[in-house]
Amino acid sequence: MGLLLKQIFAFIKLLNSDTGNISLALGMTCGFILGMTPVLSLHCLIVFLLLFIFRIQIGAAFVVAFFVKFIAYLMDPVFDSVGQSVLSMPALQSFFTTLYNMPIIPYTRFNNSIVMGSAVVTFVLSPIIFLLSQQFIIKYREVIVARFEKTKLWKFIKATSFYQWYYKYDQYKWN
Amino acid sequence: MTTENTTTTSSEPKKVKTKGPIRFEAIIPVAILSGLTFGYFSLYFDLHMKKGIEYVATMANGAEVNVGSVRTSFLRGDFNLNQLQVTNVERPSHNSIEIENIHFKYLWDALLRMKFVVEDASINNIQIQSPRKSPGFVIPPEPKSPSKIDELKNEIVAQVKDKYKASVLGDVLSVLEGEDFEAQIQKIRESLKSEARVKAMISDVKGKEEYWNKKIKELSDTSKLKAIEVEVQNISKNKNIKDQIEGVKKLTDLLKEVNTQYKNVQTAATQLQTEVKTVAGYPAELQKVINDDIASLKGRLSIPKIDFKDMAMHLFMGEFTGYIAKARKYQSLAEQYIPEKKATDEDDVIIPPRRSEGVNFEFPKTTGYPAFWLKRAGISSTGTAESYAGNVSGELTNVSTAPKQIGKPIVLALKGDFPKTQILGAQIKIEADYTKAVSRQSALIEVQSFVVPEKMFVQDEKMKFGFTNANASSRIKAELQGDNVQMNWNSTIRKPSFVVETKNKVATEMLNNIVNNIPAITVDGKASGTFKTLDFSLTSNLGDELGNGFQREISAKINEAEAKINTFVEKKIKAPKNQLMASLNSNTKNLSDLNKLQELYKKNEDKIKEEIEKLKKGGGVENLKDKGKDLLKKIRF
Repeated sequence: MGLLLKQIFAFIKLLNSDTGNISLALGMTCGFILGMTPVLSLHCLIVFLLLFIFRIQIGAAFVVAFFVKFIAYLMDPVFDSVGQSVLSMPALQSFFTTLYNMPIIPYTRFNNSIVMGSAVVTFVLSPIIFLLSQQFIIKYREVIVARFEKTKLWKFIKATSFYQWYYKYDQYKWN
Repeated sequence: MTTENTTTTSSEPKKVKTKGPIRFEAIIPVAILSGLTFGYFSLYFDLHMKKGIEYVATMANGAEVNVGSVRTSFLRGDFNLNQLQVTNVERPSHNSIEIENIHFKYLWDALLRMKFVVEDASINNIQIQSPRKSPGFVIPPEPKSPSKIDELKNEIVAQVKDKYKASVLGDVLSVLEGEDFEAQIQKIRESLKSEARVKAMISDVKGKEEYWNKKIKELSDTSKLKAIEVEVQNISKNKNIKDQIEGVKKLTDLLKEVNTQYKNVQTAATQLQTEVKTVAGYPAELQKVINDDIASLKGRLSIPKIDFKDMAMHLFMGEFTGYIAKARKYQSLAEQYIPEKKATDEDDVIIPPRRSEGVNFEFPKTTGYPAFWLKRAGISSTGTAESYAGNVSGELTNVSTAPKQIGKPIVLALKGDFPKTQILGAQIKIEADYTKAVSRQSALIEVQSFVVPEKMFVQDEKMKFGFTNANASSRIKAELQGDNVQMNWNSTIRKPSFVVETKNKVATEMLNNIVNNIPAITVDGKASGTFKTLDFSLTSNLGDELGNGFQREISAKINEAEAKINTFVEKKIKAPKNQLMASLNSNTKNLSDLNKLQELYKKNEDKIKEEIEKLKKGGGVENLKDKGKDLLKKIRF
């Protein structure tokens, strides 16, 4: 529970920070992919590699992945049905046979209905998720954060010496 | 302007440097780590692998194994091992095998699937029995309990261990030397069962004899009979009716007495007859014990029961069994490592997801590899008359952990000569087929010419028999299917220089005569059946010649030894046996006496009965009654 709260606070902090919205949106999209697809597959490893190499928000990815996992459980029958439909498409049989006999590719577990179904659904939805996330972040910062900063309470807090000290500490810590 | 700008810039908050899309701060440490790993594999991995191979191979071989160098390349997917030297455990100054180079090239396509497929391999310049620069270290053998492999080997060896052994020639020599059997017999004389038994028999018969002598003496007391006879005569002479009546009464009492006596004699006779019958079986029983004693003595004197037809088996069976045991050992070792586990192909099956299992779709396998597959290893070597290297060419194909998957048998085909060690025309073809439900192995090992420096059939203090400096050719053909084996061994040993050394002149002369007429020894062996119950047959001209020669000489000697034993036993038993027979005769005489006595009593009894009858009829009791009745009628009123 502590870890979960820590992740949530870290995510809120990221939303409130100056972190680029694209980086955050990409992180949320990667988290969506990680959460939706079963972890033990090669394409998850590729997503992890992308997170590691590119400046994509890892924290956002993990928080989103954690919450999406709960939804993924409920979505399993849908993924299974989509996966079975794709894997049994006659037109793709020779393609899948080739993939099945290629090196490395079988480690993606593409021949599993849930892996295939979730991959198809998530990869189709990921650009939409990315755009929605980006819009969400922009809107959040414009509307919620800006409005909050205008409140008297926030101004009062900002004026306190404790906040000044914390702000300096935070700047020191992160720079 | 410039100053203004500078001032303005310095008063502004420090601009945070924008970071690019790539996370260099994470990539650089990983790159350094990868570089270090690459450095290790480039500089040290080969060295460590060389040390590892040396250590493992030394432990497996039981003597030092050296590797000159190991070169591996991940990018090229190849493996090179140079100058492999395997120390001969029994002769540490030499290598049992030395290979100049072993080269493996792995298939990248398979490596990406975590499988090791060797597309092409080569083993170059093989030398056997080459001298080492310095003697190799030999690991002292550890006392160990018999392994499963040893048990399998012993299962075969045990079938012939006690049945056939070359030491039979030693036994033959013992007989030819005509060992002093009498001296040996004297050592074990106390243990003759027949001697003890005959003593017990004599004692028993003697005891019985004494008892019956006494008894017959008692029963033979005829004084009472004589008194009765006198009494009978007196009564019969008496004319007085009253006395006669009294006489009849007396005679009747006497008759009872004689009858009692007669019954006593009869009982004694029956008893004696039973005992005589019992002791009459003693001679037969004694003979049986004597025979047993003779058989036991023969056994203890180790008079060999030699089947000369099997002489070849005695001479060569140990060697032949050794080949079969080796075949069994390698078969079981191969079965341990080669046949794939049932679930081997399932290694590729994807682990079910934690969330829910889903359905795994199976597609046709067009390209699949077993965990290890050596497709082909070329073996080549070029030697000279001076070097220990051989002219060898051949190949090893399809060594795999999943033969059923590749559907091909393992085949090792080799041809070659080793001029320095004088091994010429060597040919090996081994095929191990594990593609079917029941595995099948076949092997053909043939050497057209090789030197046998020495082969001793018997070498002990009594005898040295064998040959030196022979040239031989040998062919072993084996077929193994599951537990069934069919093995043939044909060998010819040409121009052997026989060594015959014995203290016995006859034996030496005879052996020399036999072996001097043998230009070549041929051996033809055959074994078939299951490993647990093998049916062996082995013939050799040496065995036949030795067998025939020994047959003549030995038979006479054995007969002589057996006769000595018979004489010894007979001699030892003869006197007590005669004593026993005399006692038995005495008992028979007693029985005869008793029968005579019985007859005597019977006669007397009959005589008394007759007298009583006579008295009864002539003036006996009835007559007296009649006379009394007549007298009463006369005095009737």
